[in-house]
Amino acid sequence: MKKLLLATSLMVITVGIGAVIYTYHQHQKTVYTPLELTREAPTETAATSALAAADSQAAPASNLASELAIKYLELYGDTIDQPATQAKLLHELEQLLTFYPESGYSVFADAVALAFPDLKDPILSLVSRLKLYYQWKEDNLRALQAMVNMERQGALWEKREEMFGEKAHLIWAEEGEQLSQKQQAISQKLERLDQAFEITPDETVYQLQTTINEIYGQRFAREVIGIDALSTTLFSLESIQAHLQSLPAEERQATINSLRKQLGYDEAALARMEAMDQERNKRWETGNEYMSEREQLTLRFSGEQLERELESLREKHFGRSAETISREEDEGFYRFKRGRRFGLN
Amino acid sequence: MYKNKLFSESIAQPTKQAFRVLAAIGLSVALTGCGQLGQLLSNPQVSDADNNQVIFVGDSIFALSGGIQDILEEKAGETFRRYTVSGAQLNGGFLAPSIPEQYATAYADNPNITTMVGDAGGNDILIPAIFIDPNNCKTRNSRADLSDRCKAFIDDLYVDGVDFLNSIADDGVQNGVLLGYYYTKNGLFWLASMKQAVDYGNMILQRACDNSTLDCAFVDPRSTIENSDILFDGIHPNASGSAKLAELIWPKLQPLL
Repeated sequence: MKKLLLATSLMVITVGIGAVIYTYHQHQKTVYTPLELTREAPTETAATSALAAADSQAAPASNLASELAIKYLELYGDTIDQPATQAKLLHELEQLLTFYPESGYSVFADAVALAFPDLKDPILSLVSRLKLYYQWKEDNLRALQAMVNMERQGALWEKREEMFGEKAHLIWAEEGEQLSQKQQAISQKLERLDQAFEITPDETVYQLQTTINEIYGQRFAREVIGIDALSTTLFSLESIQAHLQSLPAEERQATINSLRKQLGYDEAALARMEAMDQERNKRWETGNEYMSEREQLTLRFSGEQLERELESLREKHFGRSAETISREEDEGFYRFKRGRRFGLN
Repeated sequence: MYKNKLFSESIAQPTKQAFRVLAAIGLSVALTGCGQLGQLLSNPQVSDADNNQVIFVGDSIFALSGGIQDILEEKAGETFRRYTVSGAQLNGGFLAPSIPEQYATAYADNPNITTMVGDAGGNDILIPAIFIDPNNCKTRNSRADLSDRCKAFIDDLYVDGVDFLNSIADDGVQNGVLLGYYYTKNGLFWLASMKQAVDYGNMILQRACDNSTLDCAFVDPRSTIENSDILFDGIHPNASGSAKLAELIWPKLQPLL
């Protein structure tokens, strides 16, 4: 008797292990991209355990649906109104279909109806569309894998929006969180570089590029983020501006050119940008002269006399744009009181 | 661009669209080193049109599909010169001719310009903000204040913008129609957090229009464009978006024709 009991137990254990292995194999066939977190391999849920331990004869559907409903409530109830949580139920459905290919969907639908009666229709609709989405991904797996990362993400997002509309970014909200974390990491580094007055500008460029490469990957940084974004970032740093401010004009321009070259601009772009820098320099020289003379006028005159003098001064320095400067000052905006930021304004 | 002969039909179309979208905001995917990438993925330039006195300059809001200008030309019953380029910035930029450079090209082609229609400044703010955000132009929620750093950055764009408008007025251009920017959304790029930057940016574009010596009309699309009018990238208008933007521009443009 004892031997018979032992044999039966071993058989049940073997069947259970076989079911788990089969389920895992099915799960592995699912297409994952690094950001497809809604398809992450789940930890064993109580619902999964219930299925794995099920007798080879199907339990009465209503009992199973009730059990599953309780487990869904426990696992997902707190946030079930969120599409990202609803999307997780697809995995539960797929588990169920593994064991009950014929009746699994109706058991699932019953469980959802029991657990979340007010959300049954939207949940089932979402889950069904997700199944179609992942089928589309599988059908186009080779094409997707052949793409560079951003291309692939673009194709996925186009499909997601087509199939889920406004809910797409809610379902895949975790991708946004990941990006946010990367940006926070960059932000922390930028804060340090912003105040790193003791390191050379060349070293700042190196550290900036290294940080971006480490967080996003070198290829992504080069091909997607691009030079312009890096240039704006570099010249936005107070440490860089402080260094440039300390240099005589010619040496400053040479440094700016060198930094841009280090970022990756070619000679044609460097020439265009230097021409733009020279234009800006003239604008600021004119502006600083104007502000100095303006200050003198405000000390000497007041009222209407002052207004006439200022009008004349603006016309002298800015020609037909004098009216623009006047309107700006009326608004309280003194453009030449902004900080001069070399390489940017 | 990489082409895979095993493309399924169901994905070939989205791939091209996704690539155009990426390039449109100045991202040199798979074409590193190409200095004029934006022009490759923009509506074709039109240097000789039915009405050469009206020119369009701007970025991929216009240039990616060309839809806005197409609709306006249909309404007008005539074509206009077209110089819009995807990826264009107001202030320099590597991958596409800047908006002032587009205007310079138009002027060189034919200096007889009475009206300029377009947009400017969006890429200057957006491109650094998407992955790095050095000026803290993204905000955590809709109530948070825009950072002073971002405001200062956008104020610089105001100066560049108004000076550009003044320079074209000095050339004899009489009228300008300047399209502002709508709220971006989350999608391929997570940009719903740019709301405050869009608000501040539109404010300065309006100011640039008002303060310039050009007779300038500002078109504000924020209350008109909804998420359903924006492509999956979170940035560019789809067909309905382009139609709505054209409808907003038309009342300002029609009297000038």
